[in-house]
Formats: sequence, structure tokens, C-alpha cells
Amino acid sequence: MNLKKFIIHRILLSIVVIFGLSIVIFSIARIVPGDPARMALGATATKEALENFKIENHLNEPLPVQYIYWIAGVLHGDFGKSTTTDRAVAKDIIQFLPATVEVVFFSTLLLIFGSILIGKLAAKHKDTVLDGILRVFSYAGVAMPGFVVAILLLLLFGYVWQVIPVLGRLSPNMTPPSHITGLYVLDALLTGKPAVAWNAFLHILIPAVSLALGGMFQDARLVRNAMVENSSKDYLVAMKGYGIPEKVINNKYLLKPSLIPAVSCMGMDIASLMGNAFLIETIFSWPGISKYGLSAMLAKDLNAISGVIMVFGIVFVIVNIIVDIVVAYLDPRIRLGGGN
Amino acid sequence: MRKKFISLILALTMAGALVTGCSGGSDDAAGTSTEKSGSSQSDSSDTLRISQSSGGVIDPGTGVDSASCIAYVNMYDSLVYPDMDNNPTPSLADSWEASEDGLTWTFKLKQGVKFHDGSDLKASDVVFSMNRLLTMGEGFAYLFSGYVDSCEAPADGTVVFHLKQSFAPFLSILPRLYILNEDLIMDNLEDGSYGELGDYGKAFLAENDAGSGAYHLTEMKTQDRICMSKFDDYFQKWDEKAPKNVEIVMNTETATVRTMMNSKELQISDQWQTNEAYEALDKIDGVNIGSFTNGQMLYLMLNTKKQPTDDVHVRRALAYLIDYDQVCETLFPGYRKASSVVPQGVLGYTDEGFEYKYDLKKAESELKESKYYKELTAGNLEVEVEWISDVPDEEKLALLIQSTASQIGLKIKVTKVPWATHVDKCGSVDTTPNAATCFISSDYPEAGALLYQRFHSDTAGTWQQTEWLQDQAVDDMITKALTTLDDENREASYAEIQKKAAEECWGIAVAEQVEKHAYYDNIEIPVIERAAEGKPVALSLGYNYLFRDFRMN
Repeated sequence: MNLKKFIIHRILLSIVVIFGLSIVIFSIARIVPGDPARMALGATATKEALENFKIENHLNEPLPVQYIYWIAGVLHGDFGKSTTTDRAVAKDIIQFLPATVEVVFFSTLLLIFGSILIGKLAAKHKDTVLDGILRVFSYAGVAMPGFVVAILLLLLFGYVWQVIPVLGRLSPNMTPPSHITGLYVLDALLTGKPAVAWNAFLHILIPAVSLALGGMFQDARLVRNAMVENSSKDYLVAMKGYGIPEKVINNKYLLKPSLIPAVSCMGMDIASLMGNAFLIETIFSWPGISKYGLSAMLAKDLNAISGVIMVFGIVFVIVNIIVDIVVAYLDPRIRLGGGN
Repeated sequence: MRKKFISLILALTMAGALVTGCSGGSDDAAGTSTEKSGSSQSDSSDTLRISQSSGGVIDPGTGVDSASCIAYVNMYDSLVYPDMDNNPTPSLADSWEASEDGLTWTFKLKQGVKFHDGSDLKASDVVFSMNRLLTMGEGFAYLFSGYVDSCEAPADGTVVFHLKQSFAPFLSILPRLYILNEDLIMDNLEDGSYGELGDYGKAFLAENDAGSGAYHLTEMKTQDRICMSKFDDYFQKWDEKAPKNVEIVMNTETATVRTMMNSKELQISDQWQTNEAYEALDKIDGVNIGSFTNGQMLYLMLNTKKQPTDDVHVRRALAYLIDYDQVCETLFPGYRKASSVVPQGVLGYTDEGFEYKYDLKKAESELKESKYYKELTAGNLEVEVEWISDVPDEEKLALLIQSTASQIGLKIKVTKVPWATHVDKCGSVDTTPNAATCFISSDYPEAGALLYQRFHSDTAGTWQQTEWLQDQAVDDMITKALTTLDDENREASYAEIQKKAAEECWGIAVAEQVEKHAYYDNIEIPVIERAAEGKPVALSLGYNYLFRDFRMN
């Protein structure tokens, strides 16, 4: 199977996965405890209002019928109306998603490059003091929950030292850039406002670090271990014997195969960043989609829950496709069907 | 070579961005103080930011939570509003009169009041607002739906309400009828379930205001913050030092609030911080802690239709088992021990007949009189006390009861549930726990409000009444009180119900909430100043925050 066929095959499979996901999401949203009508309209809503709400949202229909109404809307880009914001869920997603995408994007960069750099460094200085120090940091990074890191960094950088802005997407007296993509750094650069872009970038730093730290150290360990294991392979010894520079050997022939196990793990980590962002968004007052999703769950906002998880699911599937492609590129045995 | 060239270009671009970024906004970039940079400095120092819990909305027909109510009272006007003594004070209404039977209320409106879009506020806008609230049936509609039959505008500047039955506190509930700009809403209808009225302007009002209040909306950042600015054509008086801009920041996360206060990005904290957090905030230079009672009560609600709390002796035993002093001194410092099922300061409050205090002997003797005594002491029957996981401090109360109950051999099972599960469980007698901790605030400043919310059959099965009282005699007493026009007689009726509630121990009123805020000392908050003078404060939700009366020195 060539790479093109492999990609098409993965995309077709993903469509089936997303369809299955839609059924699971729809069902789970309705299993969450609480009467959605009562939760939406409050304890004091009149019986007529509650009944109207149920009729309007097809809540009196059997679950399969409700699903058909919902999926028909989703296929037309209509996720229904959110009861917490009184707006179309699609509109909410458009408002909240870019903020999360922006912080997740920077976290992803940090996660990928940070883990490779730390992994390489640790492998290069195997069994030295530096390797030991990096190991301690790695274990601490993996063991410490993201929200603890977030609160720690928030208090250190925003309360004790006050050297960097840590709350919200922009400083209070900054005007947000015109909405083009919703990503403040990019929009500010596109509209020629470098000061705003810089301010937005600084605001992203600490939340992005908090979000990426756990995954980064975990993946760094994988890179380090794979590099150490592969460094004793015969073909590398032969290359050294031929006098090929160590830099070339390390970057081209040792790093590439050593990345395969880490890339799969990175894929999962990156996809999880979206879901894990809710604590970071709450702590750093970051108006993202994860925080919105959490509020929706607490208020049993069925359409918003389904919409948000659907978006997360799709992101997860897309990231997985990309990871599969990267792994297939790195390891021909994958795309060629296990070496057959 | 090509790679190196691209790298060079990228490096130059980044360096350029850094240089311009640093030179253009380094003060902002530090983000530590909004008072450093040039022209925007004055705007920032005129801005008052207050944190509140998330979920605030700005459509006065839908929300009832704290953040929403603060937004309503500042962006909208009502016919009357409560002054500090809870007396109905003219707002949009110039004068009013009620018919002798209390069924017809006529209001004369002030002339020349402008909406935020510059149009005139008319009597028809009042009619539209009333009809919208009643038709939608959400938010504060329940206050009116049982009583208001119709509303009309017979002449320019005159509004008449026709009631189905006389309702004495009618003036007290009118502050919850916020007047909307009919024309603006009708121009912005979207598809919805209200026939030719579409969505009744719900989508529009989710992001826009249509009011005439002291502040107009400048930006609604859904689930993030509500930004308002002073409305220059406002018809009522302003304090000359009132904030020009106000932002309601919807985030109560302790570390976030602390950081924002420290960097002066927040001037007033929310009321939901822990004591440890208030102590930390108090240490910030220039920050004070102020408090006032807010009319909210902490109850231990009791299911009167489920074993063993269907027995009045078990209920009374539980009431004597609570160490109220410890609750008000240690668990919820500053709270005031409840002395009735309604808070002090509301019309009709009485402490007559309310004798509950921490007394193990009385608790034991009540338990002995219970028909479940043997089963309870043998451990065959237990009392389930449920607390809401969203309010961690409630666990301490549940554990305190469990601990004292064990001293007289009563077994308490403490369970923790999320709010959504609790609301769901309250829907049926069987799933409603024996006892549940809950905070409830009075919708208007009369004893009748809480008596109705807590004990009338209309509210049975909601989180506001897990007692499942469903007693026709009690319903009649509440209805009679609410329809008694004479204040003195009405107060007597309220007192009678409070005494009965205490005697039969329908539910346990534990303490009156004291609302605490951390705030910068250059800000004068009227309710905190009044409370500091020892005067009672029991304003309805939102009315403690009329920002036009605040002062920023």
C-alpha cells in the first residue's frame, strides 16, 4: 500500500469512527443526571415553560428519534441551541474554539520540540548527572497534575514576581484585534498590530507551559529511552566506523527511528490537550471551549455537551490521522502493511 | 542555502515583531498594572471590576443568579426599586395607587426617560416586558404568573396591572420586572417557538441590552465577562465618583482572584471565596474585607414524607444536634445563627417560637419520643444527610451533624452529590434524601417570599423545597398571608406560619449568610458601609450592587 492509499484508507475509517462517536456522545449526554428542562429554566420555571422546552427540544420523543433530529441538524452544521448561553451552539463553538486552539497550538509546539530536545539531551548524556536531573524533572512533570502546575505557575509569575501577564488573552487596556481567525496572535499580526500580537503571545506562555508540561516530560522519556536503545544497533556502529559525522548520525539515523514510539504517544497527548484544557482555562481565566463544555455539563445543556464533545472527537480523529501519517512516513513497515 | 535564507527571513521577522512589540506596548505586556501606560490609563482607573460566578446572562427574562441580577439592576430599570430599608422607591414610576380590593394597580410613569438607543420609554414597553416575562415563564416569571392576569396601557404614561387575586407584596416583586425596549426587540426577532414573536428576542438579548439603566452594555463576552459603561442620558442621579465602566468578571477560582486583586485587575472580589482566601486577600496592600447579611439562609432541609424524618421528633432531635455556635464561628465564620425560618430584616420576620439551639439532652429526649427510636439506636435505620459537592464547606456541616449525632446513638449517613444530581433526586419523594444542605435567598424582602419558596405545595419537588410538605392547610395560610393587604395583619399571618414551621420543624434554618468581599480601600460600597454602622441589610439579589451609588476615590 502506498502512502496515498494509506491516507485514504485512514480517512474512510475515521468517518465510521466519527459516526459511532456521534451515537456514543448523544447517549452519554442524556445519561448525565438532571432534568435538562429544569436545569435550563431553573427551579422556578412554570410547568408550561418546561413543557414547551421539552417539545421544542424533542425531549418527549424516544431516544432514537431524538438522535435523528440531532444528527440531521449536525449534518447541516446546526448543533442546536445552547440553554446556558441562549445562542446557537455553532456560534458558541466559533467564539470559544479559537482561544483553546491557540493555547493548544503553542502547547503542541512546546510538547513536540521540548520532548525531543530534552529526550535528545538526556540520551546524549546518558547516566550522567544531567540525565539524572532531567529524569527527576520528568517524573515530577508526569506525576504532578496539570492544575497544580498551573496554580503554581500562576502564583509565581502573576502574584509573587509579576513578570509576565498570566490572566486572560490580553491585558485589560488592550483592544482585541479584528476577528479574522479568532487566534489573537495571528489576527494581530495580519492586521498589523505587533504590540497586540506580542501581548497575546505573552498571555499564552504560562497557560501553554502548564498544559504541555506533563506530556512533554513523558514523551521526552520515550525519546530518550528509544535513542539509548537504538544507539547500540549495528548499522549505527557501522556508520561510525565509516566516519560519518556524529551530528548526522544522531539527527538523521538515530533520532528518526527513535521518534516512532514517541510520536504515537505525542499524538494522544496532543489530542488530550483539548480536553485537559478546562482546568487551565478556569485558572487562567481563558475563555476557551473546554471551560464552556464543563459549564454545559454542569447545567446539562444537551446540545452544547454534544457539540463540544463532537468537536473534541473530530480533533482527536484528525490528530490521530496525522500521527498515523507521520508514523507511516517515519516507518515504511507501517504503510507497507507490516513489511509484507 | 535555501533553508538558511528562509531561516534568516523568519529570524528577522521575529526580531522585528519583538522590537515593535516591546516598544509599542511593553507596559501592557508586563500586564502587572493597567495604570502604567499613557492614554489608556485613565480609562482603566475609571473601571471597576468585580468577580462573580460563571453563568451570568443579560436577558432579564431568563436568569436568576447573582451575576445576572447584578447586570439587570444596572442595565435596566423597573417601575420601583428597594431602598436600603427595603421600601419600594419610585424609579420609572412617578406614582401609583391600588384599588381597594387590591386587584388593580395603576402606575404613572416618569416622562422623558430614554432607552440606551435614544428612544423614549413608553407605557407600551412596560406592557411588552410583562407579557414577555409571563409568556416565556422563565427567570422571575414565577413571581408574577400566579397573580398577574393582564397588563395594559390605557393612556400615554399610564400602566395598569390587573391581578387574578389580591397580592399584597405586589410592589415588592416589581423590582424584578425589568423594562425592555419593545421596538428594538421586535426589530431583532429570530425564529423561535413563540409564534409570530419568533424567539421573543432571546438570541438578541443574549448579547445585547435593550434597557434604560444607569449603565449600557459595551461587550458581552459570554461566560467570561460583562462589560458596561455609564449611560450619559440616565434619568436618575449618579454619585459623582461612581465608576464610569464596570466589568463583571465571571471567575471565582481562588488563585485567579488572588492574582487579579494583587495586580489591581480586580477591585472587588466575589462572595464565594474561602476564609483562607479572604485572609490572603486581606494581606494585599490597600485591600479591605467587608461583609453584610444578604438575606440568604443556610438550611438543612428535611424530607417530611420519608422515614425516619417523617417523624417530628426525629426532625426536632436533628435541630437540637446542630452546634450553631461552631457553625457560625468555625465552619462559616461571621454567619449569624438563624432565629426563624426567614432572615432578619424582611417584613414579617419574628423569632417567636424558635427555640432551637445546640442541646444534646433535648435531642436525646426528642429521639426517645420518636416511633423509630429502637430502630435508630439499633442502627437498623439511619438518616441520610446529603451535601452538594459544588460547595465544599457544606461537607463540614454534614460531618459536624454526623459527629454530634453519634453521641446520642443516632446513625447519620453522609453523602456527597453534584448539584445536577441533587436537583434530579429532588424530583421524587423516594429519591429525596432525609436531609440536604442548601442555601436559599429570598426573592423579595418579605417573609412571604421564603415561606412560599420553602413550604408551599407549588415548590414541592424542586431544590427549594425537599420537605415535600404538601399540606393544604399550610398552603392556605401562605395564600391568606400573601393576599392580606393590611401590613399589620399580613405580618401577623407571617408570624403564625413561622411559629408553626418552628414547632413542627419542617426544615432546619441553620444560619443567615454573611456575604464577604475583598475590595480596595479607595472604593466605597454602600451596603458594606451600612452594615458597618450596625444597620440591617437584606436587599434582594443584585440590588446590593447599584454601581451608580458606589464611589471610586
